[in-house]
Amino acid sequence: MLTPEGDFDARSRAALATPALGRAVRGTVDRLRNLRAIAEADADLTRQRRAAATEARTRAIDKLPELLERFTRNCEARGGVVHRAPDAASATAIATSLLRKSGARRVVKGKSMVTEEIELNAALEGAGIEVTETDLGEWIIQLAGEKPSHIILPAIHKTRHDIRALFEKEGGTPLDASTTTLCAHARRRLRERFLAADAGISGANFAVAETGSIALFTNEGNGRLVTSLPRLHLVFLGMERLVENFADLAAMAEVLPRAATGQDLTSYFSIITGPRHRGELDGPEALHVIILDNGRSRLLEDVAFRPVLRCIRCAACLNVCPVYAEIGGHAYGGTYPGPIGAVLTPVLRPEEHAARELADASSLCAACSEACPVGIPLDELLILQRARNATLRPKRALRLALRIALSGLMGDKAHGTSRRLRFVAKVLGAGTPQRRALAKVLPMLARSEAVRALPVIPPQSFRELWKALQAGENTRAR
Amino acid sequence: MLAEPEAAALRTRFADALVRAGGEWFAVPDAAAAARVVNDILHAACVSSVAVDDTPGVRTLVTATEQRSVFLSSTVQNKHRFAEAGAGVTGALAGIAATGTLVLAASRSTPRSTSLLPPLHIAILDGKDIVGTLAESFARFAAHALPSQIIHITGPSRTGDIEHDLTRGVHGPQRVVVLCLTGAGS
Repeated sequence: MLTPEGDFDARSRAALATPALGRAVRGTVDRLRNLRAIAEADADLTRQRRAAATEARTRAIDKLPELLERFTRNCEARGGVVHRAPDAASATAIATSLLRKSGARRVVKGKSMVTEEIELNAALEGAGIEVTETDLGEWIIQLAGEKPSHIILPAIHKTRHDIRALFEKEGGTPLDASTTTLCAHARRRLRERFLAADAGISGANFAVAETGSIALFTNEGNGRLVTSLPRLHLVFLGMERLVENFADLAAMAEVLPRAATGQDLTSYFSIITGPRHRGELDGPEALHVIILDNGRSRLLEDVAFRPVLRCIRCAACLNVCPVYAEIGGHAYGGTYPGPIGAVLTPVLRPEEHAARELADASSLCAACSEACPVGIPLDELLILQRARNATLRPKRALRLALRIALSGLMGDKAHGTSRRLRFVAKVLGAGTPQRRALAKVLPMLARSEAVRALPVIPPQSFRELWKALQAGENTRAR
Repeated sequence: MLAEPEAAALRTRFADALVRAGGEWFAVPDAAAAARVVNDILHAACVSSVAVDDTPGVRTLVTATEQRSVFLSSTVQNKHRFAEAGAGVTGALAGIAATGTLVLAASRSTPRSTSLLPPLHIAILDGKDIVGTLAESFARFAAHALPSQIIHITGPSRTGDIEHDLTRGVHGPQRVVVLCLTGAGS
């Protein structure tokens, strides 16, 4: 659902007028972008990994109805129950009814964009069920009464002082603003909720058709707690998030953590197949999977936009987008911000004018398409969406697009070609060990990251590569 | 069966990746040495209650002392007991060298909570069970007889949700220690 206040123009103006927001968002996306650059530094390997992941996702989308049917059969053979929800209202109704039937009053939730999309929390609270978000970022957002502004870092726009104030209000005790104190507070408070919860709700990164399994990639461990401690587990699965088999799942595990956080693998990667077996002490007694359509079938029929269904929600496109860095996630007004949101939201909600104008939120620099680990041509789809809009609404788009594009491009001064600048950037690029060591002795360095992190510089410059190529050497870009 | 130089190379890759992910690594020749190291770690961490998986090679490793009680995780009726434990000791089905990942499976004798609720997780990994990649580890499971949960653990619990300042142990263990049996003692 798009927020009603103002249109995209008004929301992005408001975001640009809040410099603290830009600083918080930009510093973090720069760091994430650099971590990904390090994790994907081996160009050949990255190309192979992306090709395998793209192939697996394309094949899954091409035979989606068959895979959904196989997943359902195999999941139910292992004791799970599968529900199909055509829209948000039916998905929340299924969840409410399952929770009521089991007498569940207290629910702990793992991070899930699909549940944001259907506004599950409001529906459950309306039914008198207490819901606690347990991903640290999601909990912060829930306490603030806001929506996530980034797909994997929902509280990216919050400073530690904002977070301290929210935690002090929730816990009723004074806290300092150190990360250690704030995390320890969250661990203590949320541990109580985990132990008392009747039901756990999670999303799913992937579902495996061949085995009926659900795969979750997480770092904090709250995903494991949600799926291990309560007696009932509800999984919300976007209809398109299928892979055929374990080999395809392994291919996804090679790209998702690298693209999302620059990790080779997340701290936890769980594969859940059915409820607990007889004699097991923990794990849910009942497992329900609610598969959400909510416009995805229509997207499947839209041949040009179909590649969007390959999306694995890694958020790499957000982290490289000059427009996202300036305006943050809330200005997009929907569940999915950034380039993927600008493409996905209008096709999921074609009837909403406010969704269509998100296609203007781009400089068309194509950094998003380059960052995408499953090869979605985001910039081309943005142009296509604009073309579709133009038949409905001729003017305005150009003016807004230019303004935002310029504000994004202005900041990119760090790319120098001189050797010296490259050396400095190499040593000081965010995420490098040298930088971490230096930041300890030079506090000003740490402070400078609040403004902008230096990008990671490839070992060879373009000019050097070009010379080498012309000299006929078999030099590889790495 | 791998030749020793290849097994040693896999161990080294595993150890490097584990340490990169924030985990701790000890290579021990045999079970007796593993028991000594485990008890030392628990002593140093001032752990007063330890959950231990009910599997061969793990159940007898930890010694109860005056300061420390030990219980088998398969006997726990109340999940609060895991939450109060200072450490959980488990085995591992496999280790993945490429990422320093432990592979565990939920079962009657190996509940999910042992490696999850206590702040310190100690895993005993047989060096022979280290494989190169995730795909190789997957190949060890039969698609028709999967456990209810396969758990891949790569270092401690972490979050970057507060100003992207990386912190350990927000929900899961703050420390993950792997003791690898190298078989050098036999």
